[in-house]
This record gives sequence, C-alpha cells and structure tokens, in this order.
Amino acid sequence: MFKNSLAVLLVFLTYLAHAHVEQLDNIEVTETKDFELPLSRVERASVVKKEKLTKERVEHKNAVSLAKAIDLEPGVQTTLTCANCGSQRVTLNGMRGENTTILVDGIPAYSSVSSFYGMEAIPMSGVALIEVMRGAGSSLTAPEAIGGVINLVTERTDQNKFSYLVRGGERESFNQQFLGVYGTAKRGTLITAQTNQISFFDEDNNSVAEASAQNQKAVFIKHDQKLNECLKVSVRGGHQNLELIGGATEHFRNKSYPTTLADETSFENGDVRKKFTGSLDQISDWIRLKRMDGGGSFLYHFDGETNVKGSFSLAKQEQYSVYSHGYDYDNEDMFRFFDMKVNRLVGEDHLFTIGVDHRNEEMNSNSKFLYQVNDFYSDSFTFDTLGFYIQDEWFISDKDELNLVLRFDNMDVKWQDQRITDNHLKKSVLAPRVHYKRSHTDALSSRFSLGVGYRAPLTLFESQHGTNEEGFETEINELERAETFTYTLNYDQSVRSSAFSATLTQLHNMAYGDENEEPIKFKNASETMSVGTLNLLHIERITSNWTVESTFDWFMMPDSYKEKLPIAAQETRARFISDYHFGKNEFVTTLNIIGPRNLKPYNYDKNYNVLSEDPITFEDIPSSQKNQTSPLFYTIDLFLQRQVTDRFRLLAGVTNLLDYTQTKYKESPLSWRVHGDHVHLDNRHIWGPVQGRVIYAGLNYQL
Amino acid sequence: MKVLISLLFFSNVAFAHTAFNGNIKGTSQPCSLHIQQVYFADNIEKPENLRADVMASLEGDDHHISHGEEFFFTIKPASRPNLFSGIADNQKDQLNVITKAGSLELEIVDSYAVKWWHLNHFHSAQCVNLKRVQE
Repeated sequence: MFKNSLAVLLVFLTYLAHAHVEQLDNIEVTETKDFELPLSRVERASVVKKEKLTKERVEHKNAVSLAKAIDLEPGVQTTLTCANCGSQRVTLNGMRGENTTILVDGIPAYSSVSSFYGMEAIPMSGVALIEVMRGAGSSLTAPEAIGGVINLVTERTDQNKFSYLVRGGERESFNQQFLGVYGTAKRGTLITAQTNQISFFDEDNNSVAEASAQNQKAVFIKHDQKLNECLKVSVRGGHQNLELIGGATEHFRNKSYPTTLADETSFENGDVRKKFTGSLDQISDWIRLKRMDGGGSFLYHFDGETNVKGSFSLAKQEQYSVYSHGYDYDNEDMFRFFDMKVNRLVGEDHLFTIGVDHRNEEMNSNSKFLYQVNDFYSDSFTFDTLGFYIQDEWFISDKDELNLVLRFDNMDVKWQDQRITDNHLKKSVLAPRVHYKRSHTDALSSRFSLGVGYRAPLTLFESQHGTNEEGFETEINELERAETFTYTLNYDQSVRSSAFSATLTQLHNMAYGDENEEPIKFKNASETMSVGTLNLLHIERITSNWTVESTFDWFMMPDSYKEKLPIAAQETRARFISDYHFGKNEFVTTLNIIGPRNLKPYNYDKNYNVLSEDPITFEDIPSSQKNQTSPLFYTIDLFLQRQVTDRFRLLAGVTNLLDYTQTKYKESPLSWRVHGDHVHLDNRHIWGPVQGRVIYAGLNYQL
Repeated sequence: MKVLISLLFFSNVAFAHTAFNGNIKGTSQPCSLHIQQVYFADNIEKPENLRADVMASLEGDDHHISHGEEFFFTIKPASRPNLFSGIADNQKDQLNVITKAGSLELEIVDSYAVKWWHLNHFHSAQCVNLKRVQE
C-alpha cells in the first residue's frame, strides 16, 4: 500500500515537474491541457494566475487586432488615446498601456514605443490563444510589465490545417484571414496572413471623423522542428503594415504638417459640434507603420532532469506620421531580446531555473517641423538592460505550491539629445517575487502573489503621440517601480466556474507629461499612487447547449493618478455573455455595461465645445464646457454562425447593435482644450464608443 | 479738436520715446509699451490719420521671452473710441492699445493686448495698469 502510494506520488510529482518544466521552458507558453475544465478561464495548473481567451471568443467579438480582441476581458481595458490618430493601448489592472508587455509564444516582441500603434497592427490570424497574466512580476522575463503580460500563443505546427475566413460589412469593413499549417510531430510550418480595413466614423456629420479609417496587412510564418530527441528549435518571422487616416472624412492623407492650426474660424460659430469649415490638414492625422520581426528558440534536454532553453526576438518598426497638431514625427524602433536559461529538477519537489536575458532598444526619431524648422529636443534614445534571475518552484505538497523569484537588472538609458537635462539614466534593481497557490479542494483554489515591476521611462511618445507642436522636454531621473499584490480565488466545477481577484498596485515615480509646463515636461511623479482592481467572473452552463458568463470589474485609482492618464479610464463595468448552440448554429449575445464617471479628475475640465476671441483683448474665450460626467451606457454585440458542412460555415453579426456612441450623446471627442495661455483643437475627450453599429457577414472554409 | 490734434502733431518730440510700464494681466510680471514716434499719415492732420510707431514688450512673459522677440507696430485709431490698433509687418501679429476714456491721443494709455504668431498658432497677452514713465 505504502509502495503503491509512493509510486502514485512519484508519478504525480514527476507529472507536475514535467508540466512545470514545460511551462518554464516556454515561460508563458501553454497549450490547452487535458485536465482543464472546459469552462474555466484560468489555467488551473499554473501557480501564476493566467487568464485565457480562445480564438473562438475573439471571433465572437469580430476582433481582427489584439487591441479589440482583448478589450473588456477581466481587468483589461483597451483605451483609444486619441480619436484622430487611432492609437489604442491595452491596459491591465488600471495601469497604462506602456506598462503592458506583449509576448509572442512567450518571447517579448514589442517595445513600449512600437506598441503605441502596434496594438492595432497585431493580427489575430494564426493566434490560437491569448493568455493574460496581470500584475507586476507576472512574467519571468518581462520585469517592465507593471500592468502585466499578454502572451499570444500561435497555432501548433504538429497538425495539418487550412482555413480561410472572410468577413465584410458596413463602413467598408473587410477582413480576410488565411491560415495554413503543414506538420507532423517532428516538424511543421505555419503560414498565416491577414488583411483588414474599415472606414471612418463621423456620427455627428460635422466633417470631422471621431474614429479613424484603418488599413492593415500582416503575414506571419513559423517553423518548428525536432532535430532529435533532445533538441527542438523554432523560428518565426512576420511583417505588418498599418495605415491610420484620422480626422478628415475624405480619406485625406496630409503629406505635410499644417502650417496653420485650426482656430475658432475653422468651425461654424467656433463650435466643434458644428460643420468644420477649415482646411483638411487642420484635422487630419496620417500614420503609417511598417514592421518586420523575427524570433526563435531552442530547447535542449540534457536528461530527464535538466534542460536549457534559449530564445531571441528582433523587431524593426518604422513609423511615419503627420499630425493635425501641426507637426510631423517619424521614428525607427529597433528591438532586440535574448534569453538563456537552465531548468533543473532538484529532488522531487524543487524545480530551479537560472537564467540571463538581455534587451536592447534603439529609437531614432525625426521631424522636419520639430527638429529642423524648430530646434526642439529630440526623443531619440538607446536602452539597454541586462538581467539575471533565479527561480525556485517548490511543490510543497499536493495542495501547496510556491514560486520564488529573485531578479537583478542593470538598466541603462541614454537620450541622444545632449541638451536634455541629465540625459543618462543608469539604475540597478534587485527585485523579489512570490507566488503561492493553495488548492483547498479539487474545485477551490487560492493564489497569492507579490511581484515587483520596474521600467525605464523612455519617451513621452509611449503614452501620447508627442503631445503638441511645441515638442516636449525630458526630465526623467528615476525608474518607474511598482509592487503588486494579488489574491485570486477560483472555483471550478463541470457546470460552473468562478474567479474572484483583488489587486493592489503601488506605483512609484510614475512617468507622465506635465501639461502645466510649456513645453510639456516628461518627468517622474513625486507621489506614490495606489491603484486597486476587483474582478469577479462567473460562468454557468445552464444547459448542455447554453452557457452564460458574467464579469464585474472595479478599478479604483486616486485623482493624482487619474490626472496623469491620457484619457479617462473605465471605473466600473459589467459584461454578460450568452452563448447558445442549437443544431448546427451558435448564437452569442454580449451586453457590455460601463458605469458613470466623474471626468473632471482626468483633466477633462479643460475641454470646451465653443471657442471665440475677444476682439479687443485677443483672449481666447472657451465656452460650453464639455460634460464633466459620463453616463452609464451599454452596448450589445451579436454573433451568429451556422456550420453548413464539416468544412464550411457561415457567420454574421452586429457590433454595437444599438449604435451607441458618445457623439450621438452630443459628446464628440473633439474639443477646444485649454493649454497654458492658449486654446487648441484636440480630440481626447473620450469616454465612450466612437465607432457606431457595424453589421457584417462572412464565411469560413476549413480543412 | 483741431487744436488738440495740432498740439499732438507739434509735440511729436515730446511723445517720442514715451514709455509706459505695467504688468501682465493675472501676474506681477512686468510689461511695457514704448511710443517711439507719433505722426499723421500723408501729413493730413485728421484724427483718422493719426499714427504711432510703438514697441510692445512682454519682459515677464516666460513663454514669450523664450521666443526672444519684441513687437513693433504702427497703430492707428480703430473703429471704436479709445482704441488704437496695428498689424505687424508679418501681417499676423496684432496690437490693440486702449487709452483712458475720453483720451483721444496716446498720452494716457491704460492697457494693451498683443496677439502674436508662434510656429503655427497664435498666443496672446494683455499688459494692464500701464503708468507713464519718462525715458
């Protein structure tokens, strides 16, 4: 009996260890495990809380980019940071977009600069699963992810698969996704491509679009090969193109920056809600993005107890942009990442990992207006960080698991413009991290985590597109640093799954653009900010073919934090999803409810509808202040699909069925914004949807 | 009126280099207006032909100083009383000089407002509480 028990225990520990070796080998890469319960959104085996979003769920949303796919998931917000330029940033746990790190198959692939517009460029074709790990310290190799990490898990290559999906609908929306996989257990190749377009939205017909038109093209190739029983290698490469045309409703591409900014004479009666009468370049943003990236990894098993894994990532992203704010801004961002680690099973209950990683980023910006015509500071920089880490995964018992990490980083930022005050930031950080998982019963488990994140703020462009025509100054003296404490309670049964999590993040030295300075100053905040989130997710299988899901989110942040955000964050919200299968059909209804907010702490009190000028004193006189509260609102999305044959299915849907936009609520994002002694046209009065209803239909052929 | 204008004309020298000091509205930062020359256009002594070459200086406006400019205008009577206006040579910067009520000439200047072109947009400032100082 004892021997049998010991044997079972050994098998279990070996299995656990194997699972964790695999997990560590791939850092955050996971595949759907057999032991997972079908309803659970949280990976049960992981000591780090890992929330999953399947490809099917992404399709239900009619999402073609990561920014749209991930929006409204627990603790996640996709924020449109400016209506004209179309930049969408994904925020986790209420932290800003630059605090979110994107991994592709577990390997960092985007910098904070390249993800500014890059979130809209990341295609969903070829992505099998999205994993979200929230909180500082949630990834071994991404200490800068103060908000957390999003890992894109691409399709497996040990299969044969062909899929072509095409969707089209209103607003000239058109999306094609192609996926081809040819492989065996030993080797396989994946090729995927995507094209996507959608036109602008001008809901108040004032000739200024509230949502930009987009064109996107992407291709991605991956090859995996087992060279022998010990060695497995994987290489990948991709190319993405993104074009955003904002403001003008005539697909106007402003080849050069406007020499005269919009003023009160540019709108009827100086009212941004009325017809625009100025020249198109005064409202137009034109952004083009060209990205090439590649990466790879190898995994070598020395024996059953030790393996080594190396991975690398390279990305070159070029941005060309012309803004209605009156300047041009181009940059080239080179990102390089390398990681090497050894995993070793010590005894029966300890799995040690020791590793080193290196990250390098070089960003060179150029601007005719900012740097050549005017002699403003350039934000070009080089960033280098070398990190060492050691991790112990301790399987204390079959109910308790502890993960301890100690990480050391040496970070070095050099701003190339010598005129920047103290243009060199060099810091070393030693940071611990603890994750603990307790399985109370087979169904009930708790996770505690305390993680530390730190990030070198690099450029104001990480959170705003250079802010305005007067450039900005950099005065960064400290790293952003955060500690996140998270508690999660999970309850999983065959017909229901619940997850509750509470997170508190203490953010120090927050980097932000101080708009009280002219020009705007990019600097560290002196106060520590405490940002809390509460999330509740419940999934219930009511019948064998009907599942409902409800999510509740609360984001709590102090006013001193809100005023430094580029746009107003959602503070309370709920989401209900009904997924009903009947015959060969599936019908998904999603109801999103966003709670009311006081917008004043977000600096929205500087936004007005009407501008006039006193003819005697020349004073700009803004009037009709934009609403300082946003109402409770809700949106509904529908998705219907029918499996016509084994290989062929039809799909259709409506996003934003009720056609609710803040513009139709008489609140266009467009505003006159008071900045110092003058007032300028801006498009950041954003609190609700700016894209109206889109009805679409499509078909999918799959082999 | 004619007598007054004649006096003004013949006292050009007295008006030359007349300066007024004040502060930028809402701050204690100094600003000034320098009347460099007063004359009649085409030598026709009519009120509407009154002209003055002036320099407006916003010494205390940090934002302005960073641009390193002073403003030179030729002003003339505007369509409303106690107001003299001018447009700079760049055809963009504008100046409004407001005199004391009842004062038809530039002896008692109350305030001025200046609007200047900066890069691709306008800034403006008001200089108030102007007091005459002899240069």
